[in-house]
Amino acid sequence: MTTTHRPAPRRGVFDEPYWRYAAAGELRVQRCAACGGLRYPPGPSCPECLSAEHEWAALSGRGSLLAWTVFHRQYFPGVPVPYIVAAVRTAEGPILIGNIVGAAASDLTHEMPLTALFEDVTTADGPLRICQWTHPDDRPHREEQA
Amino acid sequence: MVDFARLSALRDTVAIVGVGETDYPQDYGRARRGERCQDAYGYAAAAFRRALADSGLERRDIDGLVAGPALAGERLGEVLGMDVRWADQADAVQAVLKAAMAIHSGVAECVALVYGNDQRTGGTAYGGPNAMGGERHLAYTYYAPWGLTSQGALYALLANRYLAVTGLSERELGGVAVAQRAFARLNPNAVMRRPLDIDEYLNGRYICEPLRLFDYCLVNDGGVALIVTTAERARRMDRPAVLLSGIGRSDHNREATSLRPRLEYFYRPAQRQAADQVYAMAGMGPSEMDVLQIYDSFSIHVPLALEGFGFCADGAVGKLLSSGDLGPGGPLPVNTSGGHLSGSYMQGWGHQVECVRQLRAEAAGRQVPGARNAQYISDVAGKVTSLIYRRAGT
Repeated sequence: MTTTHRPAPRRGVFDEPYWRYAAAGELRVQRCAACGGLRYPPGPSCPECLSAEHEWAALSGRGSLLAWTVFHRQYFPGVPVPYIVAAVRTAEGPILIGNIVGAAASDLTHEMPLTALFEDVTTADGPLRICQWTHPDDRPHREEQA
Repeated sequence: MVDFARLSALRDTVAIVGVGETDYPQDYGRARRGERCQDAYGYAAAAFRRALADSGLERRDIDGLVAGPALAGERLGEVLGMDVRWADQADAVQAVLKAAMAIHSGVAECVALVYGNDQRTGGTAYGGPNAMGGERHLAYTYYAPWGLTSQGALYALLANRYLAVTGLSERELGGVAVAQRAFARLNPNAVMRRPLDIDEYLNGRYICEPLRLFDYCLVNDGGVALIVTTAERARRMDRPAVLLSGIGRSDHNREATSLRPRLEYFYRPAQRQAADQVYAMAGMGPSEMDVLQIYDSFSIHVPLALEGFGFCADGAVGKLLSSGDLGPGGPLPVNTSGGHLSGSYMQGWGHQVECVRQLRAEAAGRQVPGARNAQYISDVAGKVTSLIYRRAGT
């Protein structure tokens, strides 16, 4: 993957902690303090019980491949094609989006296990650490583990 | 719970009595040559003039106005020189619903639904950091750091999963684009009229795999207008009336941004609920539909709708798509104007016009013989809506 000038994330009021944890190499999502439900993207209250109380729970970084697409049309100068975007069903439940690194599209199968890793990229707003996914056996050693 | 007694009070009480569209191929040609001589309001006004003439009504008869999503209501009323007693703004299907409710309740008697869009010459972006719709659909832009934006990419993710789960092949999916192109070739007002066969489809480049160029809708300029009034008034008019017989809607918004309803359920629960309501209200079922119009920003909408609304069993859609049944002369004609893929991308507004033309038997070379009932199905990011129209007097 490129490391130059990816689009910066949209940072709503509730997104800040997610990105702060990511910068520290931690994958965390909101967990409802009342019912324990996990939610992503971050939001003001629990869709299950409407409680606003929450904590930021660490995910295991394990998941499986729900779906993917290979981009052939380039929408961003800093993200050259082709690249793979995947929807990953985490072991804890929430679905996260990321790029697949260290694997070709032809290597992918639905439900294959994936492991989170963090990649340092730059955006127009400055450096950013984003959560990516790779096959457990193919994790590049240069990358920091989740 | 759905109160079908109340819902059925609305059945067949409002009618579409006038339709108008702009000249899509001519405007597309001008846009391709870099000419820009019209804006969204210009297209809207051109379509409105035609719809009004088609209805036989006078402008002073119109007392309600619904502006399409790209138009501001105040400016539209100013451009059309109309002061009304009821107005709103809506997408295609909500425009019809809102007009029907306004007319049924008596807050308006004759409502003009007017759409105009200069999305091609105006350079509307459907992907990238400012993707159209991002303010209403968080998923369209939320994942930009990973290079994921655009409705097309989200439907490509859905298609990737859907093909794996259902066994639908890319070749079978290609049957959608091929059938709609065949209809477009019979429609002089369709933008894409070159022949398209399955080999050319499969040779088309991927945009977001597994979706190819021909799985994506056009982006073209144009306008659409419809005139809606009471069924009683419609009966006194010269034009054949087209009655609104059924309405169904179901939203699937929970976990929308995480894409779960899209990727795990293919929006089926919402499709089933909308189907149950629209058929119950109309007192009809899928087998009684002579013509189908399906919102088709992407080809994959078509199999989802066909399965979700009971036109085939789950898992059987591949055979149906590749059979030719959806194309000209087939038993289940879908998107008979060419749809968004080959006809004109008017965000569902043109589909309503095509329902009317088919039910009035005015569709010339692409006419479905004896069409009495037509159904529209739209599913935009899990907001599933369906309308059933029938020809008055049948």
